[in-house]
Amino acid sequence: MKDVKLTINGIIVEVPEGSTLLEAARSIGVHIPTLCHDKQLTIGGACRMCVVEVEGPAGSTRLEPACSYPVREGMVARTNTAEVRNARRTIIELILANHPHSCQTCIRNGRCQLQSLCREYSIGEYKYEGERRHFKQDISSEAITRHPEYCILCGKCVRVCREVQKVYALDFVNRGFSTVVLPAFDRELSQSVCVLCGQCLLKCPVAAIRDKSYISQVERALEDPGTYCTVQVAPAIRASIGEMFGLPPGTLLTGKVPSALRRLGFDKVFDTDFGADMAVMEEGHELLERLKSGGPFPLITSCSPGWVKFMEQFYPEFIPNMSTTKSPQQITGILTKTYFAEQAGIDPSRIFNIAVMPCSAKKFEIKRPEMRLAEGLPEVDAVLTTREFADLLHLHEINLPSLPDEDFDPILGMSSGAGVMFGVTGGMMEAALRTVGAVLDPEGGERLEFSVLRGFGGIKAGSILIGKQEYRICVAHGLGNARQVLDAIREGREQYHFLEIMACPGGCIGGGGQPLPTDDTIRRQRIEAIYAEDRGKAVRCAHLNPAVRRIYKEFLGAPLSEKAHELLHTGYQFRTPRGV
Amino acid sequence: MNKLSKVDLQPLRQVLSAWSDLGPHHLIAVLQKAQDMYGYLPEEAMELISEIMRIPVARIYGVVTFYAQFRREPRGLHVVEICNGTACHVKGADRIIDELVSVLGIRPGQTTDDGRFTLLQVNCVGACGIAPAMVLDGKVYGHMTSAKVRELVEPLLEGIEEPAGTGQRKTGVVAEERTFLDRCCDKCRNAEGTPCPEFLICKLEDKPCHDDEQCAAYRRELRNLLRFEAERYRAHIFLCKGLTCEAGGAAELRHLFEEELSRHNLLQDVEIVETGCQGLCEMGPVVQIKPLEAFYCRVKPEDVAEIVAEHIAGGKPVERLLYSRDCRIEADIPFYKNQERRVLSNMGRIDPRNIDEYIARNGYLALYKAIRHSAPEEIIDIISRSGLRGRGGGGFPTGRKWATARTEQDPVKYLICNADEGDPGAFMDRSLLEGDPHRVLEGMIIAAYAIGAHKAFIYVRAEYPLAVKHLQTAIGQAGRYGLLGGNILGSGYDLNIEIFQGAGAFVCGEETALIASLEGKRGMAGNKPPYPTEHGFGGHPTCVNNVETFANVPLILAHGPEWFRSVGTQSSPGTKIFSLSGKVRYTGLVEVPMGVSMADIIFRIGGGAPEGGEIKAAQTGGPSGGCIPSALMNTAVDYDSLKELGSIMGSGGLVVTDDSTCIVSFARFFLSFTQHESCGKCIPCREGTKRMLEILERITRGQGKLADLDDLRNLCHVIQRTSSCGLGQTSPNPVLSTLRYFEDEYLAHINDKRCPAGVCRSLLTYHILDNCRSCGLCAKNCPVACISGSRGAPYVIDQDACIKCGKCYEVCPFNAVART
Ligand SMILES: Cc1cc2nc3c(=O)[nH]c(=O)nc-3n(C[C@H](O)[C@H](O)[C@H](O)COP(=O)(O)O)c2cc1C
Ligand code: SF4
Ligand code: SF4
Ligand code: SF4
Ligand code: SF4
Ligand code: SF4
Ligand code: FES
Ligand code: FES
Ligand code: FES
Repeated sequence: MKDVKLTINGIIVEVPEGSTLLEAARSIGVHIPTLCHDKQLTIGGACRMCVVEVEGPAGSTRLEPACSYPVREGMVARTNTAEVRNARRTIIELILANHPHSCQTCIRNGRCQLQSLCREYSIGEYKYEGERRHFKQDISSEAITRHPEYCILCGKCVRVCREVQKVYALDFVNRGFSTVVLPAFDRELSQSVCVLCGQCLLKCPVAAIRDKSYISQVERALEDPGTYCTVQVAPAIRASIGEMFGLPPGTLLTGKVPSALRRLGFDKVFDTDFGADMAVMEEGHELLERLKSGGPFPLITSCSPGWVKFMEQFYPEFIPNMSTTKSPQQITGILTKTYFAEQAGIDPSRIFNIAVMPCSAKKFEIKRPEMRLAEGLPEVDAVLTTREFADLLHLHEINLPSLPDEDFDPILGMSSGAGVMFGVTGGMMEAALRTVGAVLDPEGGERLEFSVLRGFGGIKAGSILIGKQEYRICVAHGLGNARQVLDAIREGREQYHFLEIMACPGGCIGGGGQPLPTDDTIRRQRIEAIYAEDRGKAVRCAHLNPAVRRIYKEFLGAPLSEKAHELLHTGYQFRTPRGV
Repeated sequence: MNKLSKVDLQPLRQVLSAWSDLGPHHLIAVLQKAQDMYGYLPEEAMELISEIMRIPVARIYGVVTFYAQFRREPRGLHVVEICNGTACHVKGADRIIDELVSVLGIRPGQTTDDGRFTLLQVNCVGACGIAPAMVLDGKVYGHMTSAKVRELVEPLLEGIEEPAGTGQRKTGVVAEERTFLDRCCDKCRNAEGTPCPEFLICKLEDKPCHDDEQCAAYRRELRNLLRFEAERYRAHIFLCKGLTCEAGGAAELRHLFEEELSRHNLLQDVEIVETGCQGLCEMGPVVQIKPLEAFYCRVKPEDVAEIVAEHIAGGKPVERLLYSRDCRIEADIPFYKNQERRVLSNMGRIDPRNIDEYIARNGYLALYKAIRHSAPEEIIDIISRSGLRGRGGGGFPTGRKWATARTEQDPVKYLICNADEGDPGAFMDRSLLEGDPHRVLEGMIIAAYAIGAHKAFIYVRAEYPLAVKHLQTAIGQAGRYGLLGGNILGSGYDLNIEIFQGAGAFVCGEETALIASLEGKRGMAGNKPPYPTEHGFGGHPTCVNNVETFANVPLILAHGPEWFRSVGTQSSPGTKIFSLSGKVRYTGLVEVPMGVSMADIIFRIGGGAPEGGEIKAAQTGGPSGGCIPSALMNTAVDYDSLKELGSIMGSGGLVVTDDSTCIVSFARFFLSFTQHESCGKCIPCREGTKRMLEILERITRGQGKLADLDDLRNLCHVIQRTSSCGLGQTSPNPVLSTLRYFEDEYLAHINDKRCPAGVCRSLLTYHILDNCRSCGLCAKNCPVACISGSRGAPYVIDQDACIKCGKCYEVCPFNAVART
């Protein structure tokens, strides 16, 4: 593509044709504030924070939004004139006139884009007092809460849900001053098609979308001497929690996490990676069974609860294709309350079992009626997102980066490299193929890395050869991509044996519970950290994990045994409201 | 329908299964249909639509809540729509609203508990000429007063009378069945369904394929008949069926004329032509009779017998109904004499439902010549040379827009006629579409051919049902005459035109919002660039032009660019249509050369202020425009001069105010309009107009501070410079222009707590003067009973209890109530 030459703040810039003024300015280190712009999404042009001065004919000037304004040869722009600054300041003042004045009590205090802008533009007063919007908050869902009074209508949640996730749970409602973002018919989120992936929360610049917090519940359990507190930590946490303590994205803190959790007072610190290894065993054998019996294909992974909810609402015809294996969280959870409780001689009803997760939808998953022990106890009692976990550590004066490294507790804390791979897109499938490959073709040597499954492409499809047999596989992350693949299968355009779907872009490392900001660059850095963690493991295949072998020997028998079915498998149901 | 009762979805399912194309861009049409069926949009219906059209419910709900037309609650048995558009506002719509609120006991937007009445407030129903206007169950009523409200509504309130007429107009019969598709003889190639491609030049220019004296005579007669020049008619009656005249009672006139004519045995000798708006709406119902020419004003049913007996049978005009002694025919009347009616030349002269009457005036001849003998580039060149600028408000050179659209490489292109006309106080486009739809169609077909589009849309405002009907008729006729559809006039060029009805959102007049709306979305304005000519409907190059812009096109092609430029100014050539309303004697539809002075329009054509008033200012461009004070009335009316004065041409709404209008509350009125109509996308427009409105409200309540003016100016500046679309960018104009010309009036409110026009209620006090004759009328009329007194002494108002409604001031027969 051709390059275009223009002048920004007196500096000559060359950028490819079709770039925006914002991109051109960023390329020379000029930071233009934005509130509604996001590289992953279509252009909004709503907040007007990014306006800059552009020279017009005959000495005239215009203010144009840098985020959407295309560069032209010879264009002259100034990004920080007195007029521009005044316009931005006025816009901030206008936002504040219709925004709760409650920073001190706000969950986003200190991590709020609006607040930072107030500081940058030295907003010294609430200039315009007048009518404010009043909308009720929505705390109906298990995972995220919505607070429209805080919303600045940047529309990023609407766009990510519509464009990336293609769930379309939200849209603008009403117009003008009455505009608000809501699910259809003003219904609560829990009555909508929302799958609770939390991607909207990641985009929200303010505190209008929040975690449904379980912190106080967890604290109460930790304080209660009669309660036995166990915890598991998802693979993706170790690659992202450092960001909450100022470390660069992709810093691995695997060893620090268990020591922090012990300081918080947990009695046992387990690893979801272990449950992931178990999931590989079960799901891998499901695949082997289907290969033997001829289907139904594709077998589709079920470890992502946002995806599962999406499937039940939007693509219930794929229920027979779904792997019945529970997610690693639930497997670790139920084995904690059965196997571990039995071994340790603890009454499972005394156990308060917590999961630290990168995912909002996990909070929904633990409440599913299927996810209970025979006696009705929940397998997992509470989920903390990465953000909540960090908040808890800060509250307890634990500075994670400076802690010593420790190990997870045996045996539900012992894992292989396969388990940690669950944290990234393609990882679940790669982990499963390591084991399936070993069963199908024991002579073929260790198969560890599958290049088609690696990387950040939204849909990764290809064929792999195991023994003499070729298998069609596909990985999709982000529900919009999932739709594409499922539609292609439904319409007979594609056929696969094995399909991995994760609800969030990048997989769990890009989950709705992860630190802010989470963008594609940061996602890639976290993915690299997970790959490194896997490579660093002595054992990289689930079936070689001694803890896994022991559990089957002592407790479950074999993969897909009756007991394994009873504890580690689940079913799915048609769910309303039906999505389109 | 009771909301709790279960909704039967079967009929909707049936309708949807019969719908030919359920692509997402038909969402709005489908919702409109569903609302027609149920009276509102039940959730179940939206869910069904979602399922069948595969559109997420959240999106449907977003669309439904965006447009004013969609209702989520059942409506009352009777629907009262009260207009609070500019013209009606200036003529005291507030008082009519108050009256309705007190009679019905509900606020606008509500339905009475017994489900009998729904009260709605709307922005302009296009009857600005007879403002204030009200629509009751679909029928428009003009010149509303409090008394008239009671007269109309009270019987219904008590259930005495069943709903008034539906407002359906009778479709008149066309007297003469001769058409241009008739065959002169057996050699003629016209055949049912396959008109001869040369029929236009054959019949209009006497260039037949075969020559024959008999056929030539036949053609002459045909033309004469359709031009109303045939000798076998003794008279032609031109009956105005424009909205204003209809509202004034023209609906029954045809029927009465027929009765009277048959009584005199003249039915066969007289042709009645039902026309669109003849222009001088203020004097409606208007009836013109030719050839014994006469211009009759305010014709009432009881006048018909006299007109037939005296004028048609007796050959003597009815003097008392003429415009005046000296102005007996149209050409005499100052209102017309000072106009240059080019685009309006057919208005009032033909029946808009009859394509032959349009063709008889050389209609579609320009299209024939263009499409058969000119390359698209040549047409664009002619339009460019004419200097035609878009009549929709922005004044963008039409030729340049077409050229851009033409050069785009995409083989799929669209043309859109913008007939959204949301500016309250404007009714030009409506009148054109209702009164001469073929002229607009002809312009569209030429434009589509020039840019290379094969599909065109007409986006018509929801409030214009008659325009839609006439357009539908016109499109059907044009198709039958080979002027639309495949292989137009044998040129090999194809075009289809689809009508799209808006759903009630002013911002949808803005082209990117319009396109979003056409695509079945919320009408939120997009980002420009890219412009619609590069990336429009469905991502394809799309050319959007205004109704009046298209109506100019056939004229320019027929008469040449020089003719077009022969009037108007260098930079704004041609004529412009204005809808003149507000405090002016002759309201109506006016066409003048660009560059005439505002004073010419208001005084020479409009006749100045009605009795007793003094003109204070004129608002052009509606809520996007500005107020021009009477001192500057001599400035030329063209795009550039108006801009310099801080206003804009806009689409041609021209609302005149007099000294009874408070400028601050006038500005507040506009702001509350834009504020209400903002799409809500961008912060400066959504939040900024709200704060400006609040400041203006404070000022009109006497709570303003001097610093408020600085805040207002800053907000104006930022909103103008940073808003995304024209709605926001122009919304400060009414405030800026009034601050510029009437700052003293703002200061009077702020510093002296005084409203010079005596409008702002909080700043008024009512006193009873010494010349009170103790008649007690004021006390009887005071709604809060705060006037007391007894015979012999002046009555007294309890100032604490007074709500400043002004009733006492109005009713006192001795002017003993003072307002200060
Ligand atoms: C808020 C707003 C409302 C508008 N309303 C109309 C309208 O009702 N009719 C119209 O023709 N143009 C309207 N316009 C202008 C259109 O965006 C567009 O410029 C016009 O239709 C182009 O046609 P023209 O070049 O023939 O004037 C409006 C613009 C704005 C910003
Ligand atoms: S969202 Fe941001 S600005 Fe708003 S109250 Fe919270 S911290 Fe403050
Ligand atoms: S959580 Fe996911 S599905 Fe739900 S609204 Fe947010 S982005 Fe959409
Ligand atoms: S909820 Fe947040 S992301 Fe969504 S529009 Fe409001 S401010 Fe933007
Ligand atoms: S200026 Fe107003 S109407 Fe236009 S896009 Fe912005 S909010 Fe919408
Ligand atoms: S202004 Fe109205 S309320 Fe006041 S005294 Fe007169 S009638 Fe009564
Ligand atoms: S970031 Fe450009 S308009 Fe919001
Ligand atoms: S009819 Fe009321 S303003 Fe036009
Ligand atoms: S409607 Fe009859 S003259 Fe305008």
